[in-house]
Amino acid sequence: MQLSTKGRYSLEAMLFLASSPEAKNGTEIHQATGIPFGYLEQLMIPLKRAGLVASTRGARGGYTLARKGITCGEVISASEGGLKIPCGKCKRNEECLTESFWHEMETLLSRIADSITMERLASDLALMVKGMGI
Amino acid sequence: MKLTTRARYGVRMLLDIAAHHAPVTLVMVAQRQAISIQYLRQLALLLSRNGILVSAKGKNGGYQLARSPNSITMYDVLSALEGDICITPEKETDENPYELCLRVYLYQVADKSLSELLSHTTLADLLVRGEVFFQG
Repeated sequence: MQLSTKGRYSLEAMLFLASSPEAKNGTEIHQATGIPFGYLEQLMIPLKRAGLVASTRGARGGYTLARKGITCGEVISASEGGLKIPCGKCKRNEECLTESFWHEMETLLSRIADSITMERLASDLALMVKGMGI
Repeated sequence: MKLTTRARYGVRMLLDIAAHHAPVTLVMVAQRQAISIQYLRQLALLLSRNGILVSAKGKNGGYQLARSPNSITMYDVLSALEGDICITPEKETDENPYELCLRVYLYQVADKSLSELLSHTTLADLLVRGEVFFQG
C-alpha cells in the first residue's frame, strides 16, 4: 500500500521547481534531488501533458511549474493515475462489501493530497531549511 | 499507490469467516469468494500467527475469528497482512531536503489520518455494510 517511486520522484521534482524562481533543466533537477537523469524525461512527459509543467528551450531554458496552486493530488493523478485502489475490473463490484471501505480510504488520502499545494510545501521547505541552519 | 491483493483477499476471507458463527473451512471460503484455496491457506496462516484467526480441528473444524469482530480493527487486519501501514517506504539515509519536506508535510500527515481511520473501523462495521450480501 505505497506510493510508487514514480509518484514520489514526480512530487520531489515538482517541489524543487516550486522552490526555484527560474526555469531549471534536467541536470539541475538531477543534481538537487538525485533523481536519475535518464528517468526525468519519463517523469516530465505526463506532468507536461497534464498541464502542470511548462518547458522552455534555449540557453536559459528548462522546466517551470505551469501555474500556481498545483496540488500534490494533481501531481499524483498525473504521474500514477491517482491513489486508486484497483477494484475497477473486478466483476464482484456490485456485491463487494469491502469496496466501499477501500473507497473511503482512497477519498481520505485524496482529500489530504488535494489540500496541499506546491507553494505551501515550498514555504514549509524554506522554513525547514532555515531551521536546520543550512 | 496500490492496495495489495493480499490485503483485499485477506479482508474478504475474514468477513466471510466473521459472517458465520461456526468454524468455516477454507474450501467453503474458496468457493464463495472465488479465491484459490492455496492462497487462502497462506493468508489464514498469516492471520493466525497474528492472533486474528484461530483454527479448530476435527469433523466440524475450520477457522474462526480469535475474538469478537467489533474488537478487531482494520488496523489490526492490514498490519497483519501488509506489515507497516504507510504510503511511502522507510526513511532513506541520504534523504534530500525535498524528500524530507514531502515526508513531514505530506506522507506522515496522510499516514496519520489513514491509521486513525483504520483504528476506528472494525470488522463488525464492515459486516453491517455487507448484510445484504451475506443474506443473499
